[in-house]
Amino acid sequence: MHKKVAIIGSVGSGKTTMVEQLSNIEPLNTDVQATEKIGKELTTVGIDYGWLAVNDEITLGLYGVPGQKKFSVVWDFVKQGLWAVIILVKNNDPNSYQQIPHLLRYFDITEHMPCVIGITHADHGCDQQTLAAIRSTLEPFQLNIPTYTIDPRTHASVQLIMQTLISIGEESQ
Amino acid sequence: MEILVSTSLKGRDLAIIKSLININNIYGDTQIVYTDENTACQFLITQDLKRQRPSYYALNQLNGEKINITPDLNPQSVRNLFSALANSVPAKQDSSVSTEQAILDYCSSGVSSNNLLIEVFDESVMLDKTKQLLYSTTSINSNLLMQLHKQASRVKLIEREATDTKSYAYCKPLELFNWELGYCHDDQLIDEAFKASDKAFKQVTWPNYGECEFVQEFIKLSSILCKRSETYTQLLKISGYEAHTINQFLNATLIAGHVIVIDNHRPAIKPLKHRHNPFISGLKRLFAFN
Repeated sequence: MHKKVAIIGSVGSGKTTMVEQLSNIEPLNTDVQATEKIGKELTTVGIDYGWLAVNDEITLGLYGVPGQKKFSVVWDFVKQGLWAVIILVKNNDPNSYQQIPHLLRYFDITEHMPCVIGITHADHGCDQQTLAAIRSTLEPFQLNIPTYTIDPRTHASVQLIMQTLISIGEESQ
Repeated sequence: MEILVSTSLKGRDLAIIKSLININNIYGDTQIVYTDENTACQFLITQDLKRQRPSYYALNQLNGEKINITPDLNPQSVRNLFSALANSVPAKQDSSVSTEQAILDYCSSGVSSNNLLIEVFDESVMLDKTKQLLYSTTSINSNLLMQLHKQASRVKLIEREATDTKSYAYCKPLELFNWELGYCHDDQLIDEAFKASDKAFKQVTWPNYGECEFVQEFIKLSSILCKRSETYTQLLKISGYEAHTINQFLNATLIAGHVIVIDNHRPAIKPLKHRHNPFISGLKRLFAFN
């Protein structure tokens, strides 16, 4: 059996890093030299892929996909067999979290689908306005989605996200 | 009741005080607790060096009263001092509204033009729920939390426009402070009446576990309460956790505003057992989630 987790976010939000943290294998990514100033040398133009062996019979595919609408063709592929969604947004970056409503609709995220929002680039703590804006974005959907300040480079953050997804998934059975 | 003591003394004198507290710090209903923070204690044991022969005393930092320690500082005189302190300090009235309850009432009430001022010893904290900030005249650390939790404090509402925040040296997001205040309180619920069967808890927002201190059990409790409301008794049964964990979770989430108390109209039902799911079980093992 193969389950999927989609890790969705804007450029530089930490998707590639998170896939690398979680994956049992060397992640397959499609990084190229960035042609615009985005704060780093390489950027992903397709998806990042990794996987995790849950047991002898079940694997969990990790799909890091861009969050912008123009990449929705990639989303179609990931949507089939999706177990959970991780949305990464950058602290203090409204462009980053303005995509959230569209993602919630497209991936049909309801209270039964495990979903966590991770706020990255928040080394000194999450900006309260970012947190408030995200909560306000979720209100019309009446969804109570965990929103955490995280650092995808750390094991603790990745473990927190996965434990939350597992707990929500278990309660939704 | 607890009495916080500290000392400016060093060497032998410090060793005597600390060892006596370690050996036995219970005097009647009172527990003597030592702190290294001289500014956070209720009584400061020190000595007057101006006289020909140094004399020891305990300074009540609330009212400036000095209690002499005679003839000098030795185990017996320190025991006598602790006994005198236990008999002299009025206990925090159980019937009065606790500081945590006052904060909860203030934060959960509607829009207000007032801030909440809390004074304990010589320090004060001010809550501004409009700006979602807490201001303090002293460092916002575990000692301050302990004082607010254990000691009698004066609480009052003051008009926001009349407040000068420049006099407060420290500032912190209110949500984080409220969480920490509730988190350090696990012996009982901030309001024991919440345990009644006609009251239930419901989580309205997830705590930011990326920034708040928590234990792993909180994640499951949040997962339960974000889907449905549960009474205190049901929460104990469903989770299988000990009461102090439930108390700690509820106190932190209630004061920080993530959980609310609602009327319970549902009859108690037998908790459903999750059917075995090899995928979930496998993930739990991989990510050390019990």
